[in-house]
Amino acid sequence: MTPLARKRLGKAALNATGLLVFVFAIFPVYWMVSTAFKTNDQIFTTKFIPFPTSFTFEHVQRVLTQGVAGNSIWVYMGNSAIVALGTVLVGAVFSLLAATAVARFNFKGRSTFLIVLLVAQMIPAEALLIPLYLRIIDLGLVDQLAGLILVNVGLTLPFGIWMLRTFVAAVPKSLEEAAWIDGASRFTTFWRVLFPLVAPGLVATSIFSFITAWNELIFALVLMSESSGYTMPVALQYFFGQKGTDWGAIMASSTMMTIPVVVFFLLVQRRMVSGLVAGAVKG
Amino acid sequence: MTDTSTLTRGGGNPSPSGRRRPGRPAKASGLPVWSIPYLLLVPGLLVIGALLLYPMVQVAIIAFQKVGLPQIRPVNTKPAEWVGVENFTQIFGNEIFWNALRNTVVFAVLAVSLTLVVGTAVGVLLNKLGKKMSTLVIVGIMFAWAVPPVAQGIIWKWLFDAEAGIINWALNLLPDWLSTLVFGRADWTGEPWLNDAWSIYMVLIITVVWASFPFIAVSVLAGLKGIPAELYEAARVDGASAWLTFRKITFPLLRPVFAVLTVLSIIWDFKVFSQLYVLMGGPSNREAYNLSMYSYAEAFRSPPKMGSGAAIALVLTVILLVVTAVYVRQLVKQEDMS
Amino acid sequence: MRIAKITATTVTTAALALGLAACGGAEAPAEPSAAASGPKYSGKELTFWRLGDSNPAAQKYTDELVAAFEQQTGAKVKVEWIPWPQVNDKFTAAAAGGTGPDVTEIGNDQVPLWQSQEALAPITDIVAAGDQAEIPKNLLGLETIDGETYAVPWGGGSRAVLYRADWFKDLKIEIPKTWDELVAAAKKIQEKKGKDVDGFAFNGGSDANHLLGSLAWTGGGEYAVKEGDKWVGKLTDPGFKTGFEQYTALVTDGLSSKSRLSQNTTEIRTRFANNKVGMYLTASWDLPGIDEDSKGKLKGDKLAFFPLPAKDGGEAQSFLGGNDIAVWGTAKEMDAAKDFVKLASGKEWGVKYATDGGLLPVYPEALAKLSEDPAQAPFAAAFAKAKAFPADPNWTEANETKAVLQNAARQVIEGKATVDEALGKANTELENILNQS
Repeated sequence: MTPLARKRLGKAALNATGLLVFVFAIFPVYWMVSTAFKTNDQIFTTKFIPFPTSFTFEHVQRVLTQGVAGNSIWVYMGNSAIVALGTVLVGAVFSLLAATAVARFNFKGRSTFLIVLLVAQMIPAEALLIPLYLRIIDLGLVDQLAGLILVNVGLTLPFGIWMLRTFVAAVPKSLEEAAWIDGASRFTTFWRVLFPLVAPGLVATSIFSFITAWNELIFALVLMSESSGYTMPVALQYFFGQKGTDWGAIMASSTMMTIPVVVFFLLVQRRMVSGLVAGAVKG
Repeated sequence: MTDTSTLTRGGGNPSPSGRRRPGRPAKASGLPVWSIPYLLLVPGLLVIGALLLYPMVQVAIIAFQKVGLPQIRPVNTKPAEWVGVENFTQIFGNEIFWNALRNTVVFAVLAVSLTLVVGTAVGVLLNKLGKKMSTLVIVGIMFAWAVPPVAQGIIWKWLFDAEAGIINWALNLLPDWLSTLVFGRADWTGEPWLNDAWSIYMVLIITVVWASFPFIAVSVLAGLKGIPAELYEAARVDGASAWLTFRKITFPLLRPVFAVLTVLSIIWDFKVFSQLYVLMGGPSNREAYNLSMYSYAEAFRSPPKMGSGAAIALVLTVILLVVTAVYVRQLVKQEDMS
Repeated sequence: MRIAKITATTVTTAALALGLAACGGAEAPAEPSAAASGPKYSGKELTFWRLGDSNPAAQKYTDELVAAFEQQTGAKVKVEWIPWPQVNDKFTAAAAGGTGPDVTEIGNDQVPLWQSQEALAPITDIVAAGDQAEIPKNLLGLETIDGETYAVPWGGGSRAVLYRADWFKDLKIEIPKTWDELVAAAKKIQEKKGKDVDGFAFNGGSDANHLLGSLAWTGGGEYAVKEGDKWVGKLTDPGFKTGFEQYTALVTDGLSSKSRLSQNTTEIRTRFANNKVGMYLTASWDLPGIDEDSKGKLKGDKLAFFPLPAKDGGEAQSFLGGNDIAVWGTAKEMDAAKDFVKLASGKEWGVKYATDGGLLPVYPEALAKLSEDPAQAPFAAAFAKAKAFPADPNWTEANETKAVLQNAARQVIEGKATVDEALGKANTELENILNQS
C-alpha cells in the first residue's frame, strides 16, 4: 500500500468513526422526536420503524390541550420559564456585582470568599434539600414559584460568580482607567465601560444558570404540591403511572422541554466551554 | 486560554484601584473606597450564606434530631427532639444504606472514568477530523449534551423498554449463535432492563456517559487547539507512535484541564438524581437507591424522617468534600500565588 | 385541632340543617331553614381532593355533587384529582406545608397514619347523627381513634378477579374454582394469546399487598398481630408463607412477566385495556378506565369478575378496602368543609358515590340490594370475608415507603434469597417499622 493510499484509508477510518460518534450522540434525541410523531400502533411495536410513516400531531395536540395532571403542558413550560428567567435575572445582578469585586479589587478576605465559593459548589444540592425545604415552609413560600426561584438563585450563584469573574478579569483594566482619568464616576465606568465588554460573558453565565434552573427536578418535586405550579421536570413524572405510560405524550413533552436548551446551547456553545473550564481551572 | 486575570489582579499591577485615592473626585460615591468590594459582595454573600452555608450547618444539626411532620407543620408545631447519633446507628444498621453507598461509589467511579475516556477519545478524534466533519460531530454531540437530565432518563428508559424498546430489537437482530455464545441466550424480547439494580445502573451509566462525554470532548478539543503544532511536528519527525505522543505531549500539557474535568465529573456523578429517578420511576426499587435517592426517600416519603434523611445527606457531603478537597487546595494555592 | 374543637358545636347545628336538606334529596331542595339563611357560604371557596384518575363516570359524579353543594350553599368548590400512587407524597407535602385541601377523599387504611400526623379534623358529630348514624359501626374501625371519628366511610371495596370473558369463551375456559384451575387458565391464555400476555398479572407496586394479602390471609396467615402494646410479625408462619409462595410463583412460573415487578394496579389496568393481561385482582372501579384506555373496545360482556379462589377451592379472603371522605385538619373553611362532607356522605350522594364508582355502598339497605345483582355479587361475597391490614400509623411506611414485602418478593423472584430467608428478614423489618414510636 502506498503511503498516500494508507493516508486516505486512515482518513476514511477517522471519518467513519466520526460518523459513528455522531450517530451515537444524535440517535437517542432523534428517537425521542420521532416517537413524538408516531401513532400508538407504530410506538408499541417490537419492530423497528425508523421514520414515523404514520406521521401525527396527535400527541403534541394532546399534551397541549389535555396535558397532564390537569393542566396543559403550556402551564408547566410557563412555570419553568418563569423560574429559570427569575433565577437568571436575580442571579445575573448578584453575580456581576460579586464577580467585579473579586476580579477588580484586592481586599481583605478575598481568598476566603473564593474558598467559600469553591466549597459551596461542592455541596450537593440534595444535602440542602431538607433545611431549605424547612426554610421555605417557614417563609410561607411552599407552592410559590418565588420559593423555587430563591432556591435556584442559591444553587447557581457560586458557579455563576466563579465563571463570570474570569470574564470580568479578561477585560483590560486600562480601558476603565482611561474612563476613570476622564473623570467618569465609578458607576459610569462600570456601566459604560466594563458592562458592555462583560456582557457576552454574562450571557453565557446566565444561560448556564437558566439551564440549571430549567432542568432542576428535586426541589421542584418537594416544593410544588399544587399541580398548577409544577415545572416541566415534575410534570413529566406524571405521565408515568397516571394512566399507564403514554410514551407518545411523554416524548412530545420531553421534546418541547429540550428545544429551548438546544437552542441556547447552539448559541453560546463556545463561550460556555471556555467559561466552564477556565472558570474552574484559572486562579 | 490565556490568563489575563493574573496580570490585572495583584502581581502584575502593584497598585490596585483600592489604593488610588489621592486626586479622585468625590462624586464616585460618598463611601470610602475600601468598602466598595464589600458592598458589591453583600448581595452574593447574603444569598450564599442564607441558602447554602447556613442550611449546611442545619443539615448537620438535623442529622442528630428527630424531625417528622409534627416538627415541621405550621400549626401546632412540636419542638425537634435531640436523639444523638440514633439516626446514624439506624441508617448504618440498614442494608439499604450500604447498598446505596456501594451503588453511589461504584457508579461514580465507572461513570467518571468512562466519561473521561470516551470524551478524551472523541476530543482527540475531533482534532484530527476535517473542518466539515468535525463541525458535524460537534453539532451532533451538542444535542446529546443539551438534553435535560429528566429527558435523558426518559429517552433511555424508552430505548431500553422491555417490549417496544429498540435495544431489545437490536439484540434480537444478532445471529442466534453469536447471541448465545456471548450472552447465553438468543431471545431478548421482554428483557427487563430496569428491574435489577445492576442493570438499572448499567443503563444509568450509559445515559450519563452519553450526556456528559460531549462536554469533555469539546473541552479537550479546546485544550488541544492550544498546544503548539511544532511539538507534534517534532514528535512526528522523531517517529513517535500516536499513543506515545498522547502520553508524552498531549496528556502532560492538558493535565490541568483533565484535573478540572475529573473533579467536575465527580461532583456531577456522585449525586445523580434526576436520571435515576426517571429510570426506576421514583424511589421504587430500594436495592437500586443511591445516597441522594435514599436521603430523598427517607426525608420525603411518608412518614417523613428528616433526621435520618439529613444524616444520609451529611454522609454524602462528607464523601464529596473529601474527594474534592485535593482539588480545592490546589486551586486555592494557585489563587494565593497570583 | 383546637380550631376544630371550638367550632365543633356551632357547626353541628348548621350541619344538621344541611344534612336534612340533603336527605330530602333533589326533589325538595327548598328546606325552609336552608332557604331562610340564603347562600350560607357565598364567596367562600373549598378545595376538594379526589383520589384516582378522573374517568368520565367519576368526573360526572363529582361535578354533580359539587354543583349540588354550590347551589345549596353558594360556596365554590375546586376539585383536584390526585393519582393513587402520588397520594402519600401529596398528603405529606400538604401536611408539612400547611397547604392541604379543605376536604379530601382518603383510603380507609390511611386514616390511622394521617390521624397520627394530626392531618385530619375530628368529625365525630357528623357520624353521630342524620343519615350517617345508619352506617354500621363495624365499618368505622379504622376511622375511630380514641373515641373520635376522623373520616366517614364513603364506599367499600373488596376485590375480585377481573377477567377477559371473551377470551375465556374463545378458549373454552371454565371459571376457575381452585387456585390450580386459575393457574391452568392463565397458562392456556398465554399459550393462545402470546407469551407477552400476562395470564394473571403480578402486582408488586404500591398496592401489592392487596393481592399478597388476599393470598396470605386465605392461606391462614397474618401480617402481624398486636400482643400487648407491641406488634409481633407473623410473616414466617406457615399460613403466610403459603400465600407468599403462591404470590411469587405468579412470576417464577411465568404467569406474569418478570419485566414488571413493580407494576401497580393502575399499570396493570392499562395493559389489560391493551389486551396484554388475561386476569388480575381489582374491583369494578377499574371498568370506566378500561373502557377509556381501550377506546371503547373493552366493555360490557367482554369482561367479568369472579371471586379469587382459595388454594383448595372456596373463596379467598379479600382486603377490606374502602374510601372515606374527611375534613383536612387545617381546612381554611372548616364549617363549609364539614357541611360538604355531611352532604357527600349522606345517603343520597354516598350511595351514588359507591354505585357510580363501582364500590359497595356503606348503607346496609343499599348493600343488601346490591348483592342481588349478579355482577356485584362477587364483591358482596368477598366483602363479607374481608380483612384489613395492621391498623397502625406505621403500616403505610411498611406497605409503600419501605415496600417491605414487595422487596422480599423481589429477592425471591430474582433468586437472591430463599422464601424463608426473605420472609425472615421482612418479618424483622416489619416489626421494627410497626413498633416505632
